[in-house]
Amino acid sequence: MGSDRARRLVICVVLVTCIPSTGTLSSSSPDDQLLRREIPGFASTNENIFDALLRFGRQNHIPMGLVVSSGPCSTVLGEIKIGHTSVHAALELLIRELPAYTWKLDNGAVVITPKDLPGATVKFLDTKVAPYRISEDTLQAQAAYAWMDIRATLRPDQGTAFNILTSLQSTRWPEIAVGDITVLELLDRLVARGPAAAWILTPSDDPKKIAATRPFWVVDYSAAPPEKHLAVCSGPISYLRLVPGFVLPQANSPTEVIGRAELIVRRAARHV
Amino acid sequence: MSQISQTEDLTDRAVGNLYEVKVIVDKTYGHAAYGCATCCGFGDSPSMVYDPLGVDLDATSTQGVSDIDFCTGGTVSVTEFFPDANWDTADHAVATASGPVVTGVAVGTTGLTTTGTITIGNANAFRCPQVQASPSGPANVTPTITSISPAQGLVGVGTGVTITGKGFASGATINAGSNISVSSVSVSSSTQMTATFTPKNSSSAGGNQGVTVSVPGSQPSNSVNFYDQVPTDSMITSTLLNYAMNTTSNPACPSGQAGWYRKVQKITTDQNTPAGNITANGATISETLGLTGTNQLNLSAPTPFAPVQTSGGGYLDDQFGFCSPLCPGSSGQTDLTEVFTDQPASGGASYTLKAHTLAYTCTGDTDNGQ
Repeated sequence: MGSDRARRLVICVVLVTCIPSTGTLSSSSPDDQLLRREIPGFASTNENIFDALLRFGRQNHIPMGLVVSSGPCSTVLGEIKIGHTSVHAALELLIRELPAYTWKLDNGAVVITPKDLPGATVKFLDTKVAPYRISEDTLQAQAAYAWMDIRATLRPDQGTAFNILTSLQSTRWPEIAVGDITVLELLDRLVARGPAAAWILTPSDDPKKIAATRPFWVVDYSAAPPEKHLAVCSGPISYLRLVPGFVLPQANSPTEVIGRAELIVRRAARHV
Repeated sequence: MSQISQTEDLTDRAVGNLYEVKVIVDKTYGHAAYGCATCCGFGDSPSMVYDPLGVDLDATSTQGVSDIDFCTGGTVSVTEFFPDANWDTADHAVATASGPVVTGVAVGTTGLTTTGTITIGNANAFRCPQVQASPSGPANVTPTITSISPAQGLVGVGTGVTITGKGFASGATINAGSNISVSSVSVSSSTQMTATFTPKNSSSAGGNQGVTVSVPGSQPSNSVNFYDQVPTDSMITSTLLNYAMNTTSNPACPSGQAGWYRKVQKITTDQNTPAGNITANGATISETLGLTGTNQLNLSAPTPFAPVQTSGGGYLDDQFGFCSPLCPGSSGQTDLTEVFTDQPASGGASYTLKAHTLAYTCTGDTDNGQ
């Protein structure tokens, strides 16, 4: 009963002007232009925060990178309505619901990471990738090939088998040549093209696990109709559960969800 | 009784003087009104009049069935139409006749199967107009289904179908049995309907399902089958690419590695014998590869791939391959077992399709059991 009541509560955050930035909007670089871009609005009801972020990116063609641990996957928003505002302001509002996370613009992608990113994952994202060419294909296929290249750096003694299933009508992304860039840059460059996309990475503090199985996923925003795996927590993370080493805890209890919704309501009182 | 403009039968010029009789047979079986479309006048201004005969359904008349002749204002009777009383159940189903006694047939008691030739003894009694006639009148037509297109659909996925036949009218309903949910029914014309068929997302819902159409006040139409497809297997329809991978191939191996690449086109197939292709959009296919055997090429298994929805005829591209630092120069082999799983879009059931075993070496791969 309490849950129903909490979910019915509505937050309306209507912004007609941009919220002051964190100091990154002083120039007019392409990155800044992305953040300054205005969006018509965004609404979310009873949605996981990461799914909401990914949907926000898809609706507004914002390349994104999400480092998603399992815990916040159980964070369910109440109801949020954001009015006409800038990408930057909207992101600030949404990330405010994830106090343990931070975001930055990196190589054309909005990258959202935990503030306490595990050391092994930091090292993984900083790993330099040897020069390599990824041929034209679907984004999913390009991510698989990218992983083959990354893995050749992490485990040069081993090979990688790949298996790529593609719908005939999937968008084909152009060839991309990379060289002497980090894994993070590679992921950003993969998604910050064409119709835009997102990468999703599950953090780990075990470098062996990271090297054993591909820890990242990509979501092509141009997939139409939106595919089931466009949801972060019910999609990619659930698939990664299939991979040895990625055993994620179950979702939190309804009580925690209620508590989260009530928290959002209190915050709304400050905004309105 | 609904008003239906029905021209199809009346414009059938095949049997001249039997013109009206065909109208009776086609248009009145099992319905609350029946009669003749008779010819009034001949020559400059012929016209067709719906001329019902006065016999009640389920009634038995010991006298000749008769009614007003709308052409002349006089009386017209069945025996005038058929003086030799050969209007009988062998020819049609609107009434039975034995001598002058004509019995109306109860709704639904006799199956009408043909519009067979009926002999009119007094051929001069009716001279059907030799002009195009498009009469309309109060009549219900037993709907008839000629075809359903497509004739099959995947369990758990909505399929838009077009039903072709005759006798369709506003308010028509479709009964496809308990295994198919019917929605978005629309009557385009008296000869065409459209609807969405969504077979229940269960393997037990597979196979032929009888479909009938009913219009208000009529008997259901004949039954025509719609086949519920259950995904059962996957089949390679063509091999698109098949070659050695190296650092300059497309796609390429990382520096210091080589391997093999193969790209095929696949389609999922149903449970029928012989199996039919599943061409419905919206089937979600996932695929996993597991390493088996000794893995002499020292490969890591691929990450489970994002599920893919079928579109454009149900075909999917499937790329297999590997790059290994042990290639070239190794005769080693790695076996991978590939498992397809289908998850129709609208339900929770999933179906594991046939598992394939792929044997990789540095100089190629074999696909056992495809």
